[in-house]
Amino acid sequence: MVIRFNQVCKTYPGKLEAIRDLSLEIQSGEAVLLTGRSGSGKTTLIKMICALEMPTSGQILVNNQDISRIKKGHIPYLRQNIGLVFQEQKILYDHTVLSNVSLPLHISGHSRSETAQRAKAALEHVGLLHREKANPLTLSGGERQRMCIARAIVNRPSLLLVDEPTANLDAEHAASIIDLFGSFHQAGVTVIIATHDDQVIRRLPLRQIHLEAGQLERPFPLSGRH
Amino acid sequence: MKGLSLYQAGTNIFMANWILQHWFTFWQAFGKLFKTPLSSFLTILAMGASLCLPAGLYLILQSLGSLQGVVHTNPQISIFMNPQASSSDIGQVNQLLSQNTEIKQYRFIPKSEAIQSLAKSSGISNLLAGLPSNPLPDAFVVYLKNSSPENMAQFKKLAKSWASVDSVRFDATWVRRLHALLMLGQNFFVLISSLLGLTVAVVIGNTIRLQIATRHDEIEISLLIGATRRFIRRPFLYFGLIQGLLAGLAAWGMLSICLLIANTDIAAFSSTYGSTFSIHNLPSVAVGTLLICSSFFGWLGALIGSSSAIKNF
Repeated sequence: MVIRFNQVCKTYPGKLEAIRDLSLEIQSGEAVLLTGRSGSGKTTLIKMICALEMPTSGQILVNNQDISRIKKGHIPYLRQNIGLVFQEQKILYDHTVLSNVSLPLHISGHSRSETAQRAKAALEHVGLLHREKANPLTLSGGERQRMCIARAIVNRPSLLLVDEPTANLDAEHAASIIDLFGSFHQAGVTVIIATHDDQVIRRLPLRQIHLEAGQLERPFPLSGRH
Repeated sequence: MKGLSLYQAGTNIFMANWILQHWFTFWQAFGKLFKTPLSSFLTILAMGASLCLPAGLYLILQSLGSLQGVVHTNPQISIFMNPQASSSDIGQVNQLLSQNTEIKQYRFIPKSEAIQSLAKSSGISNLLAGLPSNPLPDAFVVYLKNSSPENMAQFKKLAKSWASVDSVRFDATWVRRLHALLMLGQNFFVLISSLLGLTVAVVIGNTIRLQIATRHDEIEISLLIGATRRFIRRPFLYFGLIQGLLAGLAAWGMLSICLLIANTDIAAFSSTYGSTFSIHNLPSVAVGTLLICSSFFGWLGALIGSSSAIKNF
């Protein structure tokens, strides 16, 4: 899935400029790190790719489809092809782990048997199959994040958008999560990871798109940040 | 050919999945009723009672309608011949009536038939038999194509001008009053049905809005990961449809019980008039209509309630 930003601006109400004149391109199957301080526009950029936010001006092309002009009714079908891992996790706590992971398949109309089969495969991929019947409340922070990743990949998306995947995780859990994204990239999925975590940046030697106050900047050398 | 058959196979699988999804959603919605059985039961009972009122009104109107059918709603005009009228005079009037294009149908009642009929209906045959001669005149009963009061008055004037006609009468006032009452009742029925149907829609719409509020997170996440609004609405629409259907069944049940109780009293009352009048239960077509309408109002309420609530996401 090729992603192209052409002179994109995003201004929130109150004249708060989140993205300013941004142009960039991400090739199909590429994995990139979207880095920058908090408030630099990383989350806004991620949200614009999946049409959770619309640009104020400019053009966003996802597989040659202009997201800035997409019809409201087409947005769900765009999102069904994108795996999303939210910073706030977004978990259904009155459902089991398996039910949480099955949700995207249920939405896209898969049969019950196929849904169960694929959801279990996704849970196995993230090492959480043994907790399929558990309530998410009983999971650790790292397990919850892995459950969210399983939910994002269960539909076999060609694009994976990840927002701050290691926030609130200890180093050990964070490392296992980061390695998971590396494996998805190797499987040919386009992966965009928004992070300000140095551990992620060090562990995944990927192209960095560094944002500073909503604009593209040259990435900071890691050593200079300590 | 192979490509085509693969396409057909794909379409069939998609259709099968789609039907299965609807089937699954339907049962999910049905199961939701039993998660809060008391609340669901009371809501359905309240809606059933609301629907019972127009259904009962319909039954009363139907019964009055059948009463109207016993007598002629189309008023008749009676032309009474002069007691001294000869058979040629009667033939003349008969010819005039047959030539009149305003007349829908007419019938000659000879005085011999009239007295027999009177003896049969009044139970005073012995008294009538004691009379020296038949006091009743020969008569014609006429039905006009247009039975408006003006037209009938005009015809009465015309018939009275014919020779050997003694008098012309029409007295359909009470029939017209009954007809007007039924028309009023029918309009009232439509109005009250619409209002109470709307009540059902509002009650279900509000229930759905509350359900959506309790499933806020699930809906929000589903929308984020690609659920269409139609997909989100689907279980709520089924829920409304099922609730409406059950409310219709409840209304039918309540009405049947009410009739069972009321008909005992009605039978006792009508027997004092030598009648066997009773109110019959809804015919199957009316039951079907009741269930379709209640389901529709349930679905409509769910559609309005869910659409307005999901709009906020």
